[in-house]
Amino acid sequence: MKKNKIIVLGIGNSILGDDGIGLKVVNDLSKLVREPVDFIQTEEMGFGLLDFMIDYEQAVIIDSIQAGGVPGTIHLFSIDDFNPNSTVSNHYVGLPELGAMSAQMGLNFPEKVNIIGIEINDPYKITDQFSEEIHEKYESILNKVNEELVKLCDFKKDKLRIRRCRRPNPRFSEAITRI
Amino acid sequence: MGRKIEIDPITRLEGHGKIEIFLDDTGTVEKAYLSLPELRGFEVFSLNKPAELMPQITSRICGVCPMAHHMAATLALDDLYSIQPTATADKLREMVYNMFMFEDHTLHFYILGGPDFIVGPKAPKAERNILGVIGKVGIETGKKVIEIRREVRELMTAIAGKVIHPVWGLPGGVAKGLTAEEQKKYIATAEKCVEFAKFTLQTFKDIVLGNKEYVDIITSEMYTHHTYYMGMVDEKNKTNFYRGKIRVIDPEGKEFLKFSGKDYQEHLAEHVEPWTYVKFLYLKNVGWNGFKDGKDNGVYAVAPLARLNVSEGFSTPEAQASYEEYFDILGGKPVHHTLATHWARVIEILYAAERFLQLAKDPGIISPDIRNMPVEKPDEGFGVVEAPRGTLFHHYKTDENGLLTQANLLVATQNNAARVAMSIEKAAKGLIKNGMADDGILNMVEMALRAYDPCHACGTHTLPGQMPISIKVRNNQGELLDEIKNFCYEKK
Repeated sequence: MKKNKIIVLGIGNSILGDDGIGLKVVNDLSKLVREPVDFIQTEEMGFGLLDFMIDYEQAVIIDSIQAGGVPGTIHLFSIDDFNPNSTVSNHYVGLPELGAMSAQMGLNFPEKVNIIGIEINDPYKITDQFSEEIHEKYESILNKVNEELVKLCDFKKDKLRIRRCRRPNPRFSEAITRI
Repeated sequence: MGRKIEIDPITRLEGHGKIEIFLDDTGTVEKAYLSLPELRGFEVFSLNKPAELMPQITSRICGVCPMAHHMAATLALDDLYSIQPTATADKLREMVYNMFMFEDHTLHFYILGGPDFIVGPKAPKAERNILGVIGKVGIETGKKVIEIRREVRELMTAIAGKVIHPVWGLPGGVAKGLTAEEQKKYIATAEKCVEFAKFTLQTFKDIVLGNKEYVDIITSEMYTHHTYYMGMVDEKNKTNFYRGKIRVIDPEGKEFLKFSGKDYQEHLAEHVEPWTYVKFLYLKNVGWNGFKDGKDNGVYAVAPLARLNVSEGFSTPEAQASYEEYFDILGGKPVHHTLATHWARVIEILYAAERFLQLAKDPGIISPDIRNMPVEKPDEGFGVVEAPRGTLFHHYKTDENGLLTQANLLVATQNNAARVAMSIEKAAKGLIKNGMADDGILNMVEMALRAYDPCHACGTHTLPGQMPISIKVRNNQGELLDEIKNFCYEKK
């Protein structure tokens, strides 16, 4: 049930190693951040994301990315940075396409959509563990994402209560399954 | 002159489709290769896990078609534990599965299939927008697509727990049934689905069949391959997405094989190429004779085009009438035109809706008898379904405690991999002359891929909504002459 104006949506695949980073980060942020935000994790993609995003004023998507950089690097995007395109399959429908479709059909898509992309190593190996490098860098990644979220959502810093998080249990998928 | 082939299988870090095209001395295409990322390590990951978790684990492989894996895994568990589901459970499973097929196919047609028939392959990139058919039929229709999809998914969630990762299938049955009160909602939605499917078929006929230019493209040689076809049929050789035997026809339309899913290893083999991680499935009894058409080559196709070719029709009346009309207009069976897949898909939308309604109305579907408890020790199990994109096999072996010792999946797109490669090569040969590559090649490649509706590396997410493709053109020494790609990691 939608309660707030902002959604922070963590997307990824919990059995594709580093591709689950968005899920884990949002899971941890939901425990660290005390702001009126809906923290949601989903393994849906493409059109499935529309069901989550409609009727929010602002959305921040947190996901893995491969952009040729060093794993653990944070990339920031706005949905306005990309042009929507034709595509070949439901599997390749992205956020710009959802935005364009919603605009044309008068659906209540968020006015502001930002993406925090976390550079990863390997999204193609079926495993419920992060790669060693992402595992080592996880605490730093979480804090960097948190900092960006503060700026994007205009949180008041003095309202935040952030603990230093411990290194995550490598078998994070168990935690996600229980949620 | 010797030719250097630089085989560069897609690295795990790139995530896009790579096409490498090699030219001969005259600048003509000699060969084209498509390599795509492939998921690895499933067999290792699943070891020692309880087989009963497989409907939940395998549904996580794909974020678009999880129900296909969930259902194939559930059927494999039935076989593993030597237990038949109750009649009610079987009906429930098939009903929900047809709801999934309806929803998935409908989305593809309205949102994705459009650019090829509305504006055509030669249209500039700026005109090939995401909205596809909706751009032609109007926003109100677009809203109906979204609405009916939401309604179907809500009902799937209500019975299966989650639409993205169902928690429903059990060996011998399902976890939740339907009450009489709930049944009314399913019937009401199914009736809407049938009406919408009929509207969709008429829309297709008006937009596509009324356009001679597109009909010419459908039947053109560029998008035609004469291969074998494979799909699931019931005991009367009618299409069934959920349960049946696997039927194969040859390029002339004659039945070549009919086998149970558990015998897949006797009839299907994998061919390996050094330039891609994908293993190309082919018919063992025919043999592998390269990426080419013909009766003497075991390359085959699956998914809507193939399913209509292999079946003797549909068990529901409207879909059956549409099936007959399809073959009348396209000149008989089998149809070898890849782009006819879009039409075949629309007919399957109609069948899925009708079958959903038939099963929703069945008085037996509200029985509380939804599970037979397994009593046999597990050993080996096979599950097969027709996913939207083709035949999907799950094969498990366990110890006597039900812990997996082996798991093998043959995903739908793998069946089509060889034919996809052939389509890429044909597009390349048609558009690259004298060493010059036209940007239009991207459009033509995308058209072929869109018909096959590939499902690769589904768990990863591309931010821009393309299937990232890079096409490299090389001379016969392997030197790079040109690169065309439809993606860029730089922001605008």
